Amino acid sequence: MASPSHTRTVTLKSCDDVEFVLDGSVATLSQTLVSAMAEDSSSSDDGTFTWCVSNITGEVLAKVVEFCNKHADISSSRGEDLKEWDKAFISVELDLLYDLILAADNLNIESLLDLTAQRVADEIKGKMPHEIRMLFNIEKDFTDEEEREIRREHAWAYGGESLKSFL
Amino acid sequence: MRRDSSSPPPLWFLDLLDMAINTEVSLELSLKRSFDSEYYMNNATPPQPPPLTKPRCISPLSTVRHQTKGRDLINTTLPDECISHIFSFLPSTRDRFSCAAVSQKWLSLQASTRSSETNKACTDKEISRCLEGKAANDTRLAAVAVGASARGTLTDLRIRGTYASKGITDAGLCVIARACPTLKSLTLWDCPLVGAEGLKAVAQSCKTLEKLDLCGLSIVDDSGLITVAENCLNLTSISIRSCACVGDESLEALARRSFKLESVSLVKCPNITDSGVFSMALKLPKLEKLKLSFLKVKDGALKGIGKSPIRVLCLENLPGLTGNGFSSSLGSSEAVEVISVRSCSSLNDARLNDRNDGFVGLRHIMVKNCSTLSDKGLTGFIQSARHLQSLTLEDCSGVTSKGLMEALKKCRDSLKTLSIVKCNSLSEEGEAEEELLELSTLETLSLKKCPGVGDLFLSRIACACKFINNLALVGLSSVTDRGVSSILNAVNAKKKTLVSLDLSGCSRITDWTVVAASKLFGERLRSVSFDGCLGLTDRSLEAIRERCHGLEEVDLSWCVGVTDEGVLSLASAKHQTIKVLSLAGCTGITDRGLGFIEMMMCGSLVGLNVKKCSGLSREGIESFREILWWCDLIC
Repeated sequence: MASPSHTRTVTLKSCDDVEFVLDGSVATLSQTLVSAMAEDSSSSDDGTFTWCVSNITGEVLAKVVEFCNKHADISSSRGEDLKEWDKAFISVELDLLYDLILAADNLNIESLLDLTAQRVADEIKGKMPHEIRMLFNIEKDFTDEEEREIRREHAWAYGGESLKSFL
Repeated sequence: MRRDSSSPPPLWFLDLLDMAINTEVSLELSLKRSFDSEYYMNNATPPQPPPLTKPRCISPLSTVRHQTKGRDLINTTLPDECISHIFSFLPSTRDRFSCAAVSQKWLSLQASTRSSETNKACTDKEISRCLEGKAANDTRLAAVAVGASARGTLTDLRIRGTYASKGITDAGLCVIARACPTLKSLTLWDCPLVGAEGLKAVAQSCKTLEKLDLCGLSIVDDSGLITVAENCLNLTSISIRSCACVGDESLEALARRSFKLESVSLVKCPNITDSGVFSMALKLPKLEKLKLSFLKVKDGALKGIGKSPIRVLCLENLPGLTGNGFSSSLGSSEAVEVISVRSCSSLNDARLNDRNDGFVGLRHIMVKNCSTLSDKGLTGFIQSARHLQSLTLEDCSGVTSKGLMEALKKCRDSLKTLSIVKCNSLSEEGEAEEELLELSTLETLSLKKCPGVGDLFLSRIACACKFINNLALVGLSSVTDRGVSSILNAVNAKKKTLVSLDLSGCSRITDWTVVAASKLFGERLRSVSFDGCLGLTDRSLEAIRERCHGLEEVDLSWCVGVTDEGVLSLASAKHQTIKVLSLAGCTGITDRGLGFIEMMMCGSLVGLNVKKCSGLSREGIESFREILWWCDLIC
């Protein structure tokens, strides 16, 4: 199990059979690939490693590979620049965002997972429950009374005590 | 309303435009996608536009967007961990609650997401929550879990009485247990839907649990409590009440593991028997307090208690106990200091004094509603208790005056508190004993509602009262000034120890007693109660004004003879110290009297009771309430 990932190339295959070839050092961003390669290293020595990513399409995988290439490229990975790049990279519609989260989760790429999750969180931030439901097309399955209970608890958590002392 | 076309667009229009530019572009993209992948792929039913908000209505892009049926992609695409991960980037309490109010699923995800932004100043603050009745439901409980970290650390959770149809269930308990592993104290009262699974979840998450109070959990069985015993090793106090499925196995599990248990209360659990109580009492090294009530236990349970370190023992409604078992098991214990026995009618006292050296460690005895306790039983019970400090007898119709005096002699050097309530056999019949009973340590004497106690009885125990601080002669309808004065005069004249005097319901006493008490104890008196002393008049209040300068509580309820003049004298005392005054039912008081209080007692008064004072007008009371707004007014 001698750190094989740096020397090998990795071929990622999407569910619709689109292939991407990654440099070994790029692949280390994915913890899933790292551990898969470590397990595999004993059997194959030809320097290539193929990994099929089920349930991720080529379109999404292309974005993931783009992200990994950028982040593994040490020369470009300088604070502000990279942040700007990330910001542009993540300016995608919500549905692609979900797929990216799913891919980041599957491949266990922490930085991508955080980036995408943060982006969705930013969408939610400051919104009212009905606005969030509208944003994500979530169906309301609370009764009005149940929703009131949550609001009452919120009022308490927000400072029932300070309110009391005021009164 | 017509608007000039050349006028600038209204502000709301700018807002909407702004919104359309910022959001709809990306929304339109997302729309296209969902249109392709979701709608056509699934060939779903013709799309229904979801309810729209105003801004989206007017956006030109919105028409396209809302032709597709919006599908909940976030919840269908992403696994729960990913949604929780998104939530971890929303630390503010407001956002957490907004998400929680979106849907059931999001509520439970939020409840199980720990907030990363814990307010540092708050984390040390222990907070307690209590949910009652309608508010005690799973939704609210999950919301408590969401907000738990916002104000501090939830350590005490009480759920009291939920609605049977939609009350707290195991699922709700699981959520709160996972969210609040710091819980130290949990109270569950009347939660009929909670079963063993909920309790297990609590036990497995909250290993620092110290107090557990369960009542009316009809389907919780031993498996739940066994898990508690195995996981919560810090448990110091447990109370199990009306849990029909809890039995000896629970107690044995607690006996095996819960070595820190100090207090155990078992009430109305029909499956608990001697063996459970026995092993618990025998094996728990720190058990100090034990209460057994409405159980099927017999003498066998007491055997364990006699050998345990239990100091406080409370036995109530245990028809299986016998005097013999009581005496032979407990008599030998030196640890037991407090015994409270209530409604144990089978406690045949003939054998209570079997041993002459039993119960030596006893300091406090309370016997209530035991008609089988006789003079002989009582004397036997306390004959070796040389350190007895308090004796309370209530509803013990088998105890006579003679027996009581005999018993008191046994503890004449240690007794501090004597309380006799509703003992119908106490009487003045028979001859007085030659030897006068002196209780040099007695501080509190209360005789309540004993119909046989009259002036003669009081004069016989008067010399026991040399050093008392608190005297309560309540509901003694045959007692007159003569009887009270015999006690007042016996109190050591120099030390003037009396600080509290309660003569409520002694309807025959008159101003004479009040005048005498104020002369004798004057400034030391802090509290007087003459509730229902119909014979008192304004003269009493005059005497109080003159001599009782330290009074803090005055109860003159139903003293119908008191008028505004009396209130005036009370109010015109130089130093106002009265904090609480009750004039309930004093029909002789009018707004004028209330005005005196308002003007002259405002410096000290914090509570006033004027219930059923028919002489007061609504305006008078309202004016009082306005001026003395800080005063707690009961009317």
